[in-house]
Amino acid sequence: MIRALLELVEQVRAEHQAAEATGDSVEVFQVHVEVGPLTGAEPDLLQSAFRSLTQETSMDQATLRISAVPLTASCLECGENFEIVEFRFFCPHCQGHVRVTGGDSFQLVSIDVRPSAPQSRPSKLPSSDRES
Amino acid sequence: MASDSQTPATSIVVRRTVGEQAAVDAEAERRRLAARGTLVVNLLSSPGAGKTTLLEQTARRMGSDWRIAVLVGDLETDRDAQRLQGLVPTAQLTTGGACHLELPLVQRGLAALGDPELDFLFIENVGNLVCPASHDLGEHLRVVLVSTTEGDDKPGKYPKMFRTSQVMLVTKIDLLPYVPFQVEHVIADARRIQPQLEAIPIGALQGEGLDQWQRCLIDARQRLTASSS
Repeated sequence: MIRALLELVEQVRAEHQAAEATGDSVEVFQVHVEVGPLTGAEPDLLQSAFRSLTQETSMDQATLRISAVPLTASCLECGENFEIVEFRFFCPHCQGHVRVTGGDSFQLVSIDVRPSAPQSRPSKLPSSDRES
Repeated sequence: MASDSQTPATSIVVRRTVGEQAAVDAEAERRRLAARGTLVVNLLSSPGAGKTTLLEQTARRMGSDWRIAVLVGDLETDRDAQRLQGLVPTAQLTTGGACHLELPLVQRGLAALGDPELDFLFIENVGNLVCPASHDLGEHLRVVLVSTTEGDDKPGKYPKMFRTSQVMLVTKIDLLPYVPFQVEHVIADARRIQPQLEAIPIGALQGEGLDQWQRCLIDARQRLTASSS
């Protein structure tokens, strides 16, 4: 998950750098993500994987900010929207089947960038290491 | 860490799902195989719940009437693939340490088999109820196995796995007299998370439940080919 995140971050960073007229290179110093109960990710483990995969790269000083979002659903029978409690996936009003509307994906919310510091920092991109 | 207050920082709002490409790729593979009349079945469970044994029995029963192939995922060895090798075309996928299968490895395995025309492609995932839940292999049917030697309150501990599955096989039912496991409990626990889960008790070595399992597979394939035509 962190590998996929770093690839997306690098893609956004590169697009931004290309779009800016100044031609200065930018580096990422904060990554903000949203994680929910059904994302399949544990914040502590995301943090340690992030630290491990950004070590000795141009993002080795970047921080990962994780916001928790609730697991929400919408009833397919009566249309009610609600938060799912204790992983009970049925409508609290009519017991009908539900469709999950939030809290089951891994969202990249935003990245904070600034002009790159001069050559005192590693230049390796975090996403350049890829397992075959 | 302190940042230089003179350095202009920009916050770029992205609001995109991580892993979108993997999801797009999996959906493309799902459609490709559906168009060819292949039902892809992803078998998931904790280690030792009976995936390989179930596949052996399935291959024996259905292998002569249906075109079947199996992809077996493991960290190391090809022991499971060896068991199936003599029955149906089988390819071993070794992750070399990764605890789950991902689509590219599955595609390589299918290519290694010569990308044949199939009725059923079974993927035996790595024994693990956590990570595989988050990886779409392009399957049409996600089947989770829980054996009677595990806790009957297991589903509640792995909500993502059970929420994303369509079938739950309760395996090793021949051991029920010797364990505290209650089949009704595990089904109720799982259906709180996924009310539409089809539950089949199985005793693979005794042939118990295998007719129902076979029916489930054939019906699923029928629905798939009906909607793809």
